[in-house]
Amino acid sequence: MLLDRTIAELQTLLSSKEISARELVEEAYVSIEKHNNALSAFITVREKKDALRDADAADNSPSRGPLSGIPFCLKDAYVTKDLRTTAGSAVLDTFIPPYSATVAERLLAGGAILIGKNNMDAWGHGSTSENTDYGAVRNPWNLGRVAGGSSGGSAAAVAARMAAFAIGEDTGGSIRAPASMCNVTGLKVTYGRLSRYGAIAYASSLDTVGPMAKSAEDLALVLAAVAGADPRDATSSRREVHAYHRLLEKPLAGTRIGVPKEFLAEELSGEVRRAVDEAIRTYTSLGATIISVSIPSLSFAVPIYYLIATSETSSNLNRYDGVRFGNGRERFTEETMRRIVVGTYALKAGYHDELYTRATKGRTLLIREFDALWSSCDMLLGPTMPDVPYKLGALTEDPVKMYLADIFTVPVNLTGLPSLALPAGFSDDNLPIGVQLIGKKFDEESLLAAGAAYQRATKWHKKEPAL
Amino acid sequence: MRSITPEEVQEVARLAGLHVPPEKLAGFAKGITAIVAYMEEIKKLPVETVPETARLTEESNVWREDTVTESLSQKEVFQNGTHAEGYFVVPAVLKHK
Repeated sequence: MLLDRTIAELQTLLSSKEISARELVEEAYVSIEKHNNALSAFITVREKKDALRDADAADNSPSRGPLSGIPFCLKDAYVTKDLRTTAGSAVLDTFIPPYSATVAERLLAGGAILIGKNNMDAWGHGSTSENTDYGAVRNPWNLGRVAGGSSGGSAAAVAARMAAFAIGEDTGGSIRAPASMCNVTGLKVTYGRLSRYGAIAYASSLDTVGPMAKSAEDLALVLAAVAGADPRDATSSRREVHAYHRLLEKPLAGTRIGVPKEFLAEELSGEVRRAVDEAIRTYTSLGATIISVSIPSLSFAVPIYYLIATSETSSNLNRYDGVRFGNGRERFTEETMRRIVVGTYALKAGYHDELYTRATKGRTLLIREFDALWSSCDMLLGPTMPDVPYKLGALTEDPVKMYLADIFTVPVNLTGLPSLALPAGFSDDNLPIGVQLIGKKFDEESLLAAGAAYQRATKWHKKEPAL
Repeated sequence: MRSITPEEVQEVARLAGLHVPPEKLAGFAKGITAIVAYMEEIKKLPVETVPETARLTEESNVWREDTVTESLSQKEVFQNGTHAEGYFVVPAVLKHK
């Protein structure tokens, strides 16, 4: 399929007119027709004629950018003008936004073709894309398994060739978890690297906007096109955006990769451990030095995260009053109501200091512990998930069990660091396993270069699900 | 371990503008007790002298020029409410005598 190729390869074919954007869009819609019923990757698919019209405009445009004519999809957490946006929740089932998110505007201005809005855990509340009012997203590698969350629909859509890339959102692992469970590559950026304007907020000090695609090379192209300061997001960084896609050849020799010993704890399943060990061997063969390091407070990361995230979400979700937009609050799912209640409780007079404030202090401890590692390491390597993709329903009965699945992802959001999730192998049952490379703030270029080097040496990311 | 009662859940839910159906209250209380009990692990953290982290951004005081810019039209503002012809109906705040 054309959509098996990298974005750069597609752009070369488009520029020389060997293929047309129309053909790419047609291919995307064929994949959707064939597989979306089984996968539930999309909540809203644009009318094909509208996408084709955009494709023709891209084909006839005199100026082309790197993403011109490339089909993409957006997690349904990003508002799109005049196109329904639900955040995965019945509360916004009929919501038609009057404006578009910055990331959407930048991609459309670059000529990329929007295919539709992806299914997700409502409001970002989940790690499996089962907490959705639109049917759980199924894993393209095994329909009885979850696709990961909360950006599960985006991961499934990329894996199933329904688009060349997607924009997901990562607050506690919501890009990295589904990327690893669906065998795609996903980037959680440094907090502030990419504008959150128009991203429906879950937890404002943790939310990040990021790309998902089949390779680090693809992510670098997308990131370069959308990153950078936005006056409409006061937390967006004014730091320079680099041409990440031109910095992927940096050799790995001498790179110091830390492996936190707490990341190899007993919670890790044997199969995931084997994949991480294999990744360590690959990086060693590429010339990196592996160093054992420690994050002593790692076991507190999940409670710290959930206290802060639920408190922030209880505040952010106040705006859904069913008056100016949306349906009534009785339409929230049980899990969302639980998070709002827990967050409200943690902020209540009497409990505020011992719960919420304490968590924000614990966050400082974690930040210090990660900061201390950069004198001896250039980046860190570890698993994304403690286990292979879960069976549907395995985690939904026990919220604490679900939260514990985030043990390796949430510390990265608490500290604001970037992290790249890479396909790293398969279980005996052919279920995808991923690893993550965690970097210094605003050092996406080192992560993407290290990811590209890994993907030149391995073939995991090229494997396709048998749909 | 503190046990959160169904009455407490109902009160906190009321503060958050949520209504938990009576038949679900007991289940909710149980689930929330388990979650809060787990989160109370943070009491073991040695943070007496550690400052809070309120935000991650390096930026501060991001200003814009005090000029009039484009805004949403009235039509756009009302389009997602129940009365798109030009008003919102809000829940009563004051009681009529």
